[in-house]
Amino acid sequence: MVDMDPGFGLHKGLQECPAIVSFALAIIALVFGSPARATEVYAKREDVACETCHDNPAGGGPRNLVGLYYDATGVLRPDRAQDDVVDEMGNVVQQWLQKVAATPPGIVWRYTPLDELETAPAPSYSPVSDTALLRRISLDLRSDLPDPADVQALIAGRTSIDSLVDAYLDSKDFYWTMRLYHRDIVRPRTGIFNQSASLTRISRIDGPDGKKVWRSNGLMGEEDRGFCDAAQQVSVFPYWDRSSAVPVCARTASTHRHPASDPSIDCATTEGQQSGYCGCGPHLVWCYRSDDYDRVKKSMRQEGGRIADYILRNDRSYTELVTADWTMWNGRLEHFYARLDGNLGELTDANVERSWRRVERGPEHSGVLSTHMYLNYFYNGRRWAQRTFESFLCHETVPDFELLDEIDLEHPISYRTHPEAMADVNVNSGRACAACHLQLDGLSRVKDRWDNFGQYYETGYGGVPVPQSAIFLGEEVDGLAAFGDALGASEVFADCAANQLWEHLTGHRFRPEETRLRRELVAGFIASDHNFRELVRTMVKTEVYRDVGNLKTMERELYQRSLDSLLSVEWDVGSRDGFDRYYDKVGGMDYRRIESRDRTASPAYAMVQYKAAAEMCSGAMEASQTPLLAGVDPTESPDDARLDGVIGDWFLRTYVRPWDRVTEADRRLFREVFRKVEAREGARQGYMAMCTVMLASEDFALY
Amino acid sequence: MTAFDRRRLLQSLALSALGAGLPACERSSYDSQHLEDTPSFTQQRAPHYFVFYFLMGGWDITTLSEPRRKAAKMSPSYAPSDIFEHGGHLLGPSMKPLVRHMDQMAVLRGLRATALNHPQARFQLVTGTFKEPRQAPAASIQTRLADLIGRDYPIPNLSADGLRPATFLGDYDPHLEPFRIGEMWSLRGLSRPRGPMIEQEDILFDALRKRDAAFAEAHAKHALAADFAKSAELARQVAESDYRWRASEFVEPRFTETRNLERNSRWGRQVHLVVEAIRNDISPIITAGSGEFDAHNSNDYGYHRKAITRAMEAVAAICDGLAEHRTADGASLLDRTTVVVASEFSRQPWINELGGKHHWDANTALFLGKGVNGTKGGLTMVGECDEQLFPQPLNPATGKPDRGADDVTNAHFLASVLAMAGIDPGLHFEQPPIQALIA
Repeated sequence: MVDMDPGFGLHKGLQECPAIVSFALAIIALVFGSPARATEVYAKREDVACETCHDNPAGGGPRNLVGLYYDATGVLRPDRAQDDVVDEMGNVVQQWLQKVAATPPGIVWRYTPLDELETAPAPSYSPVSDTALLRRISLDLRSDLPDPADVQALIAGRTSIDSLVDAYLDSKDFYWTMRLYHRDIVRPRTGIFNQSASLTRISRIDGPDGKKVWRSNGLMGEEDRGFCDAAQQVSVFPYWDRSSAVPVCARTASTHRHPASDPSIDCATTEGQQSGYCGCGPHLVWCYRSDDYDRVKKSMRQEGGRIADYILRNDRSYTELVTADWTMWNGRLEHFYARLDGNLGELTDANVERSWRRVERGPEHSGVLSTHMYLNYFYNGRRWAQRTFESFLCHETVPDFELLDEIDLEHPISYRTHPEAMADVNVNSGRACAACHLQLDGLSRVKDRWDNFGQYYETGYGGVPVPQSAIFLGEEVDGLAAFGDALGASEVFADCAANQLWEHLTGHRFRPEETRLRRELVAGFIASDHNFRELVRTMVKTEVYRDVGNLKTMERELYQRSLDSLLSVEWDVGSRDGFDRYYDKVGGMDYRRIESRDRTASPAYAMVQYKAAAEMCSGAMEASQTPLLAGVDPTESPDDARLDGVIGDWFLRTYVRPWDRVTEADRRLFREVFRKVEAREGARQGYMAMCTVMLASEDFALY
Repeated sequence: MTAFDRRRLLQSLALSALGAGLPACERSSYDSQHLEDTPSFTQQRAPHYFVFYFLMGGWDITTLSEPRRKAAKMSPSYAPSDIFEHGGHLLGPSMKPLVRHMDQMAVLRGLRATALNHPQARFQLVTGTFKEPRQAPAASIQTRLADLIGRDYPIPNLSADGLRPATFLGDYDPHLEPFRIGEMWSLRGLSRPRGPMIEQEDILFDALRKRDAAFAEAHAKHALAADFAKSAELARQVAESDYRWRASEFVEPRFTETRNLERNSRWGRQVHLVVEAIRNDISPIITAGSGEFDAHNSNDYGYHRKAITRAMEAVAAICDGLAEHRTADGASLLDRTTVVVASEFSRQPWINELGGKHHWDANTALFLGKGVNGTKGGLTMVGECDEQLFPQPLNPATGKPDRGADDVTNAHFLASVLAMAGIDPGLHFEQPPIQALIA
């Protein structure tokens, strides 16, 4: 159920708005059950047609000027058709809109505090064996099967699960897994992105000597004037490859920020580059190649995961994900963001190969929330709000008419498409729209000073400071940084982070029978100063995690890595890796999608698993270099003992199951598979068949 | 195995693999001799086939069923001379590719979308309901149809809608899970592994069945284990039935290319998938389409009309392909198929501040083929929007805005689809079908 207590951030009332509007809204909610239908309350009250106030003659939805004036004053002017009255109404409406826009809205969403969550009796749990647990932990934390040496050490008692967990939590595979995990949380989709990677395109052309030379597209005709001749070419170490010099036409290679012929021109700006007087600058930084765009996007998609990576590696508070005044850039982002920020002139040592590093930003920043990446991929306030709700408050925005009716709004929440645009109320004025926008537009207020290229505006429309306050959990927050701080400090954030991690480890979000555990885990997480690695350590020790029934299906990345560890062969289907081609059937992710990973079992999943097993096993046994065949000659028929040795080794590697836990039925089954196929086609195919059965079985896919 | 023994199956697979490398001119396509070799030519199993073609992102219906001239708050993307007349109705330029099939077509106008955000509108379009938070969407119309008419098929519910899924299982059993595949070559590749293990499948499948049964028994309390085992068994049935043959024995695409629609494009490959999947009786319910129609800014809107026209050309090519093939009773495959074309909502009639068009709740849907109340020599048009493109109420029983008229919603639309299959929609949707659409 929804907690409608004002302590949870509902905005109740304005200083000044006709009570009749609130009353009428309440009437609408009570009398008319249909969620999205317009009503004729006002039309009947004022004895006019709906289209007097609404764009839609049937009523409802956006209001025209007369309707907005009615919203603002409660008065339907009888003289409304007169030109001077129209002007007057316009002025009143504009002032009213500014007042509306300046009124902090409530950030509204459905949230039940932890201590009010539904509970159910916890079932009894049966622990899985240590070796099965090791397989599970390794796949969850490292996205790979455990190292055979670790398995042997565990079986021999030379190590323990807890020791291995500690080692895993500080491994490169863990950080790789967590970067992928955080990429899923932020889920950067393809943005509306019409900015080039720098200011002017640079292309390779055929020089007069027949060899390729680089020339700025802003200096067309340079080659005709001899500046691309061999004697004129300049060797430059470009930002995209600082280790190799490339030949560049003379004028293109110019690094002058201000041309001597016109010092007012700044070559590090779009206008300067369009002047026809400018070269490409130091290391050609003011110019971009045609393939830079996709590479920039690829780097942008990693930024959120890299922020999380830094936090985890350094055991910093996980809240910095939404509060930090720093971010992580590689050389490519440094270059591209300088372009967006208008700082290309200051970038004299650009190098896209530069590794990821921490970059300090200003006090208005707030972790992932204010990164160029996040603002661009979720390119308007509503998309930004939707993603923020999902990623950090675990709230999925859906049309919620009940919530709409429970809130006493005196006017729709205003929304601004850009810091320099006027605020508007009309999009939210229809019920069908307001059912979502009540949630989205309240939250997006804190972002109103940011545009979708990561630029911050102190002042906006009308030359006044852009209002950016909202009410979050009963407290006013002014802007993105304040919202981030309040969010990070809240139980909501800690609970959401725990819930997402729980889903990663168990395949489901917290259930009612896990409520007590959930409260403990969240309390512990907060008490540890939001130490995420500690939370992971705690969760994998729980009875629920270690229960024999904690089953999940393997996903694309787990297949790719584990099969690579076992077989060391590529799986190509056409021109692509097979798990990339069939990604959607095996829980993979295309980040252009809105939906998250689909982890459900399906016939298509089973077909991909079987096809991969059959083809990769065939390729691996042909190649004979596969780890599974270490010490085995696949052309020789093994005796029974040798065959059992291979079966035992394979069980250990694929299922992490020692020989004494391999059932007699399985031993017979695999012997039979091998011998039958060997009798038909020889020992090598016998190994292929065993491998196929092993990797296409349900107990390989589920862990 | 069916009548096709293993030897013939493997020969066919080898031939088809060889055939894939031959130039098109060396292979007959859609010719009668080849078709008589196809078991599906005489043995179509389903009484009714459905094709759902969705243009996801929101389409500008003024280019289709609601043409307008330029006016205040009305910004069509074409000249008045591009509007044409057919069957007494004025139509937008993107409808031109469908003229040759308008005899068998009905258009529903004035549909009101009750959600204007993409995902919820998409769910609404195909399920009739919103999706609840943290829940899977309800079963879509395709899954309901697959349950009612497709259970004999290993793959009853085929879908080429990867990026913007519009087919959902809901709480139906895994057998009806939408099988997402974008083209016939992928289906062929997925339905059989390359390499020598295909020859050993009797041994492999026997072993896998035993192992999976043991695992499911050991985890009898766990739904995932049971679902997984069932899914794996269905996958094996695909392999062991004549499905592999059906998925492999397809002809190269041969529809007439246009400037917009090339055979080797993803839209062209979808056309091929739809026609061949029905011709080879692979699945009775097929979903296709694409998701590039959102057009809020000038860049996207500049491309929008071309994208819609290409989609209509694809639909026309699907209808052409189905109409070309005749079964033993003389009927064409189009006579056995209903094609449904829709988008989740439309676009505002005027240009916005970004040079594009935002979302709009007036919508339209097109229906062609079996069960559709066509008009010989004309076009069946039901419902309408007013001059400002606001949807108008309609009486579902009469098809007119008379007494009993109400908003036309997705529930009416989906109920009409079921009614076209002769299925009582009352068990599935709260609203009645629009009778005027139904033959």
